[in-house]
Amino acid sequence: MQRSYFDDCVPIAALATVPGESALAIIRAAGPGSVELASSCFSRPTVLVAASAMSLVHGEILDPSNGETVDEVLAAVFRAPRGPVGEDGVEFYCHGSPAVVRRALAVLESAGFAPALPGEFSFRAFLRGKTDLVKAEAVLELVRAGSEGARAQALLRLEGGLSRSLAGARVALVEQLAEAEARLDYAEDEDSPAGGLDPGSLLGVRDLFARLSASYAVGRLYERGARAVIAGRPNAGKSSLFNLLAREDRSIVAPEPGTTRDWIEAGIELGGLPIRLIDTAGLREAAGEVEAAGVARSRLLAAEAEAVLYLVDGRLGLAREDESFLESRPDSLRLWSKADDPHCAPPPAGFLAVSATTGQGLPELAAALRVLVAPRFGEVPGASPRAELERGLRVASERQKLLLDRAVAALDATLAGVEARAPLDALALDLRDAADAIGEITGELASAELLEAVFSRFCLGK
Amino acid sequence: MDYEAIVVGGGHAGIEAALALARLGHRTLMITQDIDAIGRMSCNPSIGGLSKGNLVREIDALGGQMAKLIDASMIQYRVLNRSRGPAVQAPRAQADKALYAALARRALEGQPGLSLFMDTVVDLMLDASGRRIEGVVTERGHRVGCRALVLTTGTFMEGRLFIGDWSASGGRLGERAAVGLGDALRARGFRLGRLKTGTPARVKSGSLDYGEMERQEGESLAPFSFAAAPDSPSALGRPSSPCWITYTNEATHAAIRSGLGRSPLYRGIIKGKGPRYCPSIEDKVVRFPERERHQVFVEPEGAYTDEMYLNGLSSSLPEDLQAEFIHTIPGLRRAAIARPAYAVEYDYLDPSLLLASLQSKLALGLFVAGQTNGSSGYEEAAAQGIVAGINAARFLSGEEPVVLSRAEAYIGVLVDDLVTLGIDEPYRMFTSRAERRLSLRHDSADLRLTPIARSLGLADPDRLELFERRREGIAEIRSLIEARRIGQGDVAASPDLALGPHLGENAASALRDPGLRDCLGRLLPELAARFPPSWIETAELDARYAGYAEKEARLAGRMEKSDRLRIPDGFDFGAVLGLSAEATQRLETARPLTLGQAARVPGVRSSDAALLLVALTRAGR
Repeated sequence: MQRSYFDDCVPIAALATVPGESALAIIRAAGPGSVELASSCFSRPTVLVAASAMSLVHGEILDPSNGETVDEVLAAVFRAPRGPVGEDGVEFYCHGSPAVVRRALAVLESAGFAPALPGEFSFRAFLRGKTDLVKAEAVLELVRAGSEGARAQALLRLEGGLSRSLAGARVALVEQLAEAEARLDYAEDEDSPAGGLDPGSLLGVRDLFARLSASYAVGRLYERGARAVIAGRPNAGKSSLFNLLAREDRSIVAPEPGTTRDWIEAGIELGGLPIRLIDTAGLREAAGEVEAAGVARSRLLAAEAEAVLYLVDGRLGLAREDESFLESRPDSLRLWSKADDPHCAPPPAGFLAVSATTGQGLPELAAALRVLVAPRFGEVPGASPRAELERGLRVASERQKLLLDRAVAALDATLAGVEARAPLDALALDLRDAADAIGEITGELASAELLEAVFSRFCLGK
Repeated sequence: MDYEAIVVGGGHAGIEAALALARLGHRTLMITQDIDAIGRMSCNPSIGGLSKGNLVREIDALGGQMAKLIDASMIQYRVLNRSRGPAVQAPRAQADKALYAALARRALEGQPGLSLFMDTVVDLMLDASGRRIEGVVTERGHRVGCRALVLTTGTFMEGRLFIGDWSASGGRLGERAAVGLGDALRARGFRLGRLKTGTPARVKSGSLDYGEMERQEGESLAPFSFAAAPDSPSALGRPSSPCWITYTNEATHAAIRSGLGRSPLYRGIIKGKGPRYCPSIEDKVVRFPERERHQVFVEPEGAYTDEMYLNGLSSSLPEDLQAEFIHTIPGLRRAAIARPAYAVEYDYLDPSLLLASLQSKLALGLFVAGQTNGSSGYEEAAAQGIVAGINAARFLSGEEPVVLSRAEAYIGVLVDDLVTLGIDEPYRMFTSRAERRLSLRHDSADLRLTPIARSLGLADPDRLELFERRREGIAEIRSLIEARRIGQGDVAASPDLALGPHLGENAASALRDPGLRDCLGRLLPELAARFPPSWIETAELDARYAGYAEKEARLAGRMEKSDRLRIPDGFDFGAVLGLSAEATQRLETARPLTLGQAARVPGVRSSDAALLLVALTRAGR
């Protein structure tokens, strides 16, 4: 039977560090009875079981089936309710060889540890009150982060920047709500608490939420990368450029036109910004049907993309098709390809000469592309990346964005009500809606609906 | 002398319980320590107020007595918080206490099928299993059999009075406590605790200087009861008396502070917890040292007494100190104290051991209502009384209990809070406790609850006739409002009304605009001639707040899913991995029936609720 996140009694284990060759790899194991379970494949089982919380034990991971040593390790022991997951657990600091890690995980699995589902440790940490929802979601994001910038964003959320900011704003709302409720539950003729709602402070909170909500698009861009479509007529050298930029032979490069019929993409990173480089079929009145579909698709891709790199074969010069495309997408980066070819004409104004063979023009192209997409990532020229990051805390889950939108709408309704002199009991309703929405983001407010929504997200198991 | 049902106690809860039982056809005995004390108002001389007024009207809509009693004994009437919104405005009336109690006694004595008996219940009779009620044992040795018992002991069960160093057994000043019952219940394994409440001094009106106080007039009298002829306040034929407002000052506070060492509360002699929301004056002075003054309402106790009630000055300080601080207050400088302020400490039964029917989880046929469940206030007591009476009757007839939901009545909120959350201080109703506050207006109580009274058989024909007329009238007004289109002519005729943006809409949607508060009379002037103002008001408020009410329902609906997720009987909270120790203990005590209730139990964090959801989902698979 497929295991789910609901089976939180099952001991789980997984590699906690980046897969691949490295000096060190950490395998995390957690769950009830996990120390005892881990001791069955450890060279010093009694020492491990007797180890106090947060202590290190030196020893070897053994394969119980044949007694062979898998690796010499340090084991860190955690006890519930302390430790990163809030459960009993062991972290093994192994040598960072993929073969060692594979074997150690196999040994742990046969000892009774189920392979952890993605984000399951943080899911459990949430259940054990170790982290709030924003942080738990940040872990998921971190797992999927496509670039340094995305990682930095996720880490910032993990540090609690967004949680703190939202919790602070929520306190301001709840204070006003509490005051309003107190007024509502005192009669007018009693010494009731003074003052009404403070529209100024509500407006400030509303604007913060609106900014955060708007940052979702940016957050998403960090998560999935800005699309940069390489377009141009067949055989303009798109795939060669793509391969060079992606530093990998992904695209089939062949001299006859029309080789790339659909599109191929690769993730690259330019100065911390994740870019999805997309190689498309050449723009041309297509000969074959398959190719025609590819051409249509590439026009569509170019239209949706955050950036277009448009290649013109420097030996053939500008054609009518090129001009019509550039008219439709004037912000395209204009590239004069095959600059190394002796038959290449000098580039017209506004074109950058590039050569996939010699690498000519590549640094300039990268710089220009970064400048082109930076505003989409909310970068303000001149601001330091860190300051920019902190000032512009970003939300990265759709759940968070929708709840922020709900809070903004509720605060707009509150402010409109204040303006129209709506009675306090009605205003309190909108104010409560706003406070609840934010409470749902941080998980301070747990309704079944909310919890299930979050669980289903975890259960996607990306 | 055996009965189908026995009600112990003749206070506000007992009155409603006994009348409901007898009206539903069950031979009922009320046992009270003093028939002359039936329906006494132990504390403030008023009925209603914020959210409490809603309770009174809900009790009435269910066929209860409280509204009729106050309608016939009121000496001042006001609607509070008109300026703060329709959901939180509520009627309050000053009562002639003696008349109120006399009318209550007459209602009981005139009720067929109901007998009164003067004695003190000291123990229960249970069957061999110890799980089913068979009757009661009284102080004078009577053993009276019954199948259903309603306990409404108020402040009398093991009650103890405190004034400074003086302390004596008693339930009310001059009235003896019901001694023995609390200890008997403890011995039988019921969970009891101690609570405290207090009441201020009463002073002689003739000794007060009214020139130094603000006069507070009532408005024209209006009935609480939906069974009264609509909008004929003159039919009440009652006098209207003013209340008076004065304030404490620094000298008052200094006198109180100097006497704290002689306060039984501050010396730790009173162990029971008092109501935070209705603190004694010494509590107010200690807790709010920055306040320069506290308000005092001076209210008449009745039409045929010279005693005045000092609302806001509840205390348990010694009598010499009481006199000292009272005499620092403008208007009260020469006040002659007729009765001193005192505190009373009493036994209550843990309400979290009740089902939502108010039947005990420990003994079949045992129902508990009123202050015995840890509530405070006449209205809260009466609300539980009618619920316990109705459900005791349903129990006798072998029918399913009636449980009002939080969305249909304050009574539903009150009962759900008590039995789900338990209490750690006297429970008072607040509008903010109700998630569906905008739908629980006092003027709509009959529309919400009288259909239930009808199906139970608690609505008499006169009430039903009035109800049907009102309901149809309101429906007609509503359709007139919906049919009325706003035209160019309206905009021109009422330039002060800003009708422009609503051109072409109907009056119902224009009413949703908070800026158009008073447009209905202009748009449909004919309504006033055809319908009583209270009918028009209900229809108008429905229209004006329809948008907000929908929003409120949506918000409350978010939580309803949690309320639908049931926790099975005997669910082992201790077995839920990772649940905090505090949450486990709280949940084991409260034994919530749904995840929603569990999440509302104090001390249960959202991560605890998440764990429970995981455990319940796993159990359900």
